[in-house]
Amino acid sequence: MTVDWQGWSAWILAISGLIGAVSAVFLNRRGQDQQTIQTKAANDLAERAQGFDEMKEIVGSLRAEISRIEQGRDRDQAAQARRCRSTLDHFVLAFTTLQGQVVSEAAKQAAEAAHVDVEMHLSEDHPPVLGEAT
Amino acid sequence: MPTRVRREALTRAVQANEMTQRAKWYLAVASCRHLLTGIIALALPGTFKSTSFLPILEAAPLWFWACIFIGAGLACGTAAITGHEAIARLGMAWSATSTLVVGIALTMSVFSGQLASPTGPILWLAVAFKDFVVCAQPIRSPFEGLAQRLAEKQQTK
Repeated sequence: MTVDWQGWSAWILAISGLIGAVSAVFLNRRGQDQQTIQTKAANDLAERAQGFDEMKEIVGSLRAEISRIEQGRDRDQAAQARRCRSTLDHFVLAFTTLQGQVVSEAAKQAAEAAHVDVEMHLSEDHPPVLGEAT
Repeated sequence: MPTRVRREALTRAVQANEMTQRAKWYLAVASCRHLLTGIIALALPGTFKSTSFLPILEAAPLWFWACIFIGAGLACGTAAITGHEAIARLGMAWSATSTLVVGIALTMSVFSGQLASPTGPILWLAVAFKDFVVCAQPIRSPFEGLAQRLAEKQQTK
């Protein structure tokens, strides 16, 4: 099958060029939007990753403080410290889950709820000792 | 380094990352393709005597197509060197459109019996659609900058 394009080639190519240019502009805008979304996501992930480092330091210092109290002579305070360690372990478990599912909003909420539990426990149980530690 | 300062430094690095190496190389290759085609069209017009180029040459003279290709090549090359995003997007759009037009012209040649093999238009149209795909992608990937920063941070520990 042969087709005679004589006289039509200029029109066909002009229309093709126009459609191509419009498509390219549309796709370029889409690419820019995608870039903006990815930049926001990258910043969010960077902040969360930074938060993980800070939280690890806090957990480490709390554990050290609990160990110090547990080794002390005051039995009442040692018992409180053991309960505190149990609550801290619960928080660390939720925190580890959050690290594994960094983009999951549900995991973030679960970790925040566990963090609130820890704060309540600390404030109700023995705030002066752990308050000094942090 | 204080925590707040570290966080600000990390965030600033993510926002200010440069064009990806992949995008720069793609633009450089596209620039070479267009510049060579345009320069050959200007300097050696006799190489375009094949009947497959008749639809292109009927639509516009060869020097016009040469200017189109050289323009696309200059835009892509400038973007590859400077990393300027707006010029890169202009160059990619220019490249995709001009390649598409030539691909369609060669396809017309196949149907008019002026070009025996369809492999030429297949390749030109494939390259054109590849350019369109690149247009729809981020030219600056923030994740590459972030990954680089985190890798550097781990190496310094």
